[in-house]
Amino acid sequence: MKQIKHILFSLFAIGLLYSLGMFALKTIKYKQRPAIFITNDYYNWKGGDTYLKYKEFNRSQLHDIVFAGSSRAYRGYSPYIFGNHNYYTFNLGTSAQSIKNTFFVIKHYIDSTNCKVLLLDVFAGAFTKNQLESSSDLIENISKPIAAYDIAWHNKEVRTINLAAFRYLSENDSAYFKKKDYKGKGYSSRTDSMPKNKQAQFFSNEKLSHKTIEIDDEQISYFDKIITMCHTRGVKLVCVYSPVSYFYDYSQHNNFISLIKKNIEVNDVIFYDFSKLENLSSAYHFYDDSHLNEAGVSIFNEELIKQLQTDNLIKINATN
Amino acid sequence: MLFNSLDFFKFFSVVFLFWLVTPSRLKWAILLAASLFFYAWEKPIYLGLLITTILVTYYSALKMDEFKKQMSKKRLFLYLGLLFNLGILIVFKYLGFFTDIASQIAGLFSSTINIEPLKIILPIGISFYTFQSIGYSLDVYYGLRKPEKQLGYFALFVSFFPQILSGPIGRSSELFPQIHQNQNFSWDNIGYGIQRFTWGLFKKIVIADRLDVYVNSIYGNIDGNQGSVLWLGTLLFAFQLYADFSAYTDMAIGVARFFGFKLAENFDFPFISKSVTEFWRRWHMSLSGWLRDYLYTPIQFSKKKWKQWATVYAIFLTFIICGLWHGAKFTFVIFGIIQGLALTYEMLTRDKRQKWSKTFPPLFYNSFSWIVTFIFTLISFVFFRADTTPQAFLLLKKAFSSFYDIHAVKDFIVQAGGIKFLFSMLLLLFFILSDKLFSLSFLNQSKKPFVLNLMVSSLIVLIILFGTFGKVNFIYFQF
Amino acid sequence: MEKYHKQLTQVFRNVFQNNAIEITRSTTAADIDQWDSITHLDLITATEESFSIEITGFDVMGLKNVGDLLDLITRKLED
Repeated sequence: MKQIKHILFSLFAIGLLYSLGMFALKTIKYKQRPAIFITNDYYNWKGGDTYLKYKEFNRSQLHDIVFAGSSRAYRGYSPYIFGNHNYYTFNLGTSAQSIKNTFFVIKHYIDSTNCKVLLLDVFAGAFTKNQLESSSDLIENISKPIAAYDIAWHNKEVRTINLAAFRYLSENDSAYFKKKDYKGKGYSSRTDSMPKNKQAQFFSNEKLSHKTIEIDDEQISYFDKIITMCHTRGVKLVCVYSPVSYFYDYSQHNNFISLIKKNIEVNDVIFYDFSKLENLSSAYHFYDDSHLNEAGVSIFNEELIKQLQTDNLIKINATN
Repeated sequence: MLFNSLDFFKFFSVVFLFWLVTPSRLKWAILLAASLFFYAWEKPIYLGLLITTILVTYYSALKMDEFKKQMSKKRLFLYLGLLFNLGILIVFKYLGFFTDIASQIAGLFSSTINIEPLKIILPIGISFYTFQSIGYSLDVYYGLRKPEKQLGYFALFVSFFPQILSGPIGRSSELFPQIHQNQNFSWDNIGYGIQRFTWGLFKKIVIADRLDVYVNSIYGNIDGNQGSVLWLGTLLFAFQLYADFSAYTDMAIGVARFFGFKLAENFDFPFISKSVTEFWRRWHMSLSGWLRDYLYTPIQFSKKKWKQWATVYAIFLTFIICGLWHGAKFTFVIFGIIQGLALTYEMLTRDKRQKWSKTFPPLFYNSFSWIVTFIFTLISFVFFRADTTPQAFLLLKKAFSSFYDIHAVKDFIVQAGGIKFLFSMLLLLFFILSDKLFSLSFLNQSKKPFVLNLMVSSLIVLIILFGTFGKVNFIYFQF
Repeated sequence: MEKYHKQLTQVFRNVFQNNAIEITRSTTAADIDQWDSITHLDLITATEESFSIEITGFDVMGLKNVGDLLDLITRKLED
């Protein structure tokens, strides 16, 4: 039939033209980088800390703790400080990692043979609909291709499918850039603190504007899935709300906590709220409203270790 | 429901399936049910308004026919239909504007009188379906059309979902014959529908929505931008508006064709116009045609004795109303007035310009006319896009003082993503250059089916690769 | 009928300053370059003068082509 022929021809033409287009976007280079990255704001260069940390993560060794979450995770939990106490840990947090994407990270990387405790840094930003930034970072940089395709597929987004196709074509390309503040073991840190003028800015804009963060139901359901998956895989799950500065918009904090507490309490998950850790100074221990600098991390991590030891989540090592 | 949304895709699939399996003579009922559902989707409450519009217009037309020999009674029922349609349009669209003016005037005289400006949410598509209903009432009144007796058919005429939100504004002479004739499935229609819809989708999400970001950033900061950048912003807005609205029209036409309906065309490459008069023959044709037939001509002939001043009077009144039709804002009134000025100028210099066109070399004269027309269009679009009148004038003041500042443009490009911005411009250039090829090939089916097929496939690939996927409303939804 | 046609042709030629214009019953504004919504008024006024009739705004609305105009003239003259 004539129409069937037309449909088949179209499908063939679309497939062919798409492949050619992708190939061109990979081959044509701008400043030594593939042209695809100039076609959309959400496409990032391959490389950086995400690329390095997933390559570095040793899936066949048993870790005391693996950290997961957003930039507040990979900038807030230092495997080196935990190492000082002889704990073997690694940080798998990535930029703006949504809860849904955390689920896929756990699905493809974490089980009882390589992780005793999974420490998930929770915060409202990871529970919103907005997840393209995190997905595109992971699809390009996560070490297992299958994990990348899984994330791309579950985003139900044309752009993530494009990135997955691009990844398929460029699997053997090396990374295009490195990040200065990446310290290894999945951890990044900065030493500066918030400049005075920026503090004032936060007061005038961010703190007073009270941007409403809309919690997405799908993210909540993935939070549930994380809890179930950790349970079935025999990995202990600990959720932590890490410290925020005085400049952080705190107005929605209680709302958010009560929302996730439901899931936490029903499933007997351990939860620590360190959002207002007293020994921290907003002026010296943060480099912006919601990210600790190195000095802040060291205070917070020491407190956290004490807490985890008290609750018997990690054993007190004899050497210390 | 946006045409470029998953919701619409699901809705359309269901409707089309039902339409396919329904016997020919009942297919209209499926379309009517779908249309009412479609209209109720965002704000169910306004469905009541639409249904009342349908009933009042339907009834008044029947009565006009009944009293066709008694002019005074006939006129009474015309007024009933007109007053109702204009009434809801005024209440829902302009009452806020008028009370706002009233409160400002009251404020001038006394500080104790306090008129609270009303805030009413505009029912979507109201400007379009009330105009379509008014056109029908007048057609019946002038004896151009017998009133539609079958209420269902008439309801479908007013509410047909592809066009209810943003036109094209349909004419009774075009649509009723199609409603009466039972439409059946045809592969040709499907093919045509897919082509027009895909072309519209491309214009919407690859071109218009991409430009939206830049236009918003420039128009959001008129104070901080140099005249040169403001020109750039206005130029991009012109193409955004054209791409966005013609995209909507293409999608509407495409969707309607699936069900065998041929809707009116709305655009005929407006930016190649060499005069403002020509521009209005090529831009939003269903509206300008409506205004010509139901507003401009009656006004013009009512003042016939004034000779050419009747035309000037009619032009100004029509274009002020045209401006206001776009929104209850002074910026739109000014938009209408400067269009009226340009059209009047062109009318009064008609003979002179004809002489000029013969004295100067055609290439020179045509290019000059085109450039002047295009720049005029851009200036008028400033009033179309700016949020307030002072902002529009500020923009124009800067546009005519610092238009030479190329460095500011360079800075803007860097800020807007450098190479990423230039890539968007490349896509825009592709659209500008290929607009005629795609539009005409699809419109006239002037290429071999195999070539048309290949063109659609390429567009689909461009949409997948470079589409802006997210919710950006059609600009004309607010009118 | 024929004589109206001839006379109307002359009106068209005068208004649009073009002696080559030929009109038939199915001629519309689209067929004659200069015939648009602005010159329409001149055309109708000239028709009124030539045939000594009065055409109202209401009459004008019913016109779709030259045929309609001829019918209108006939009706006005013979009523």
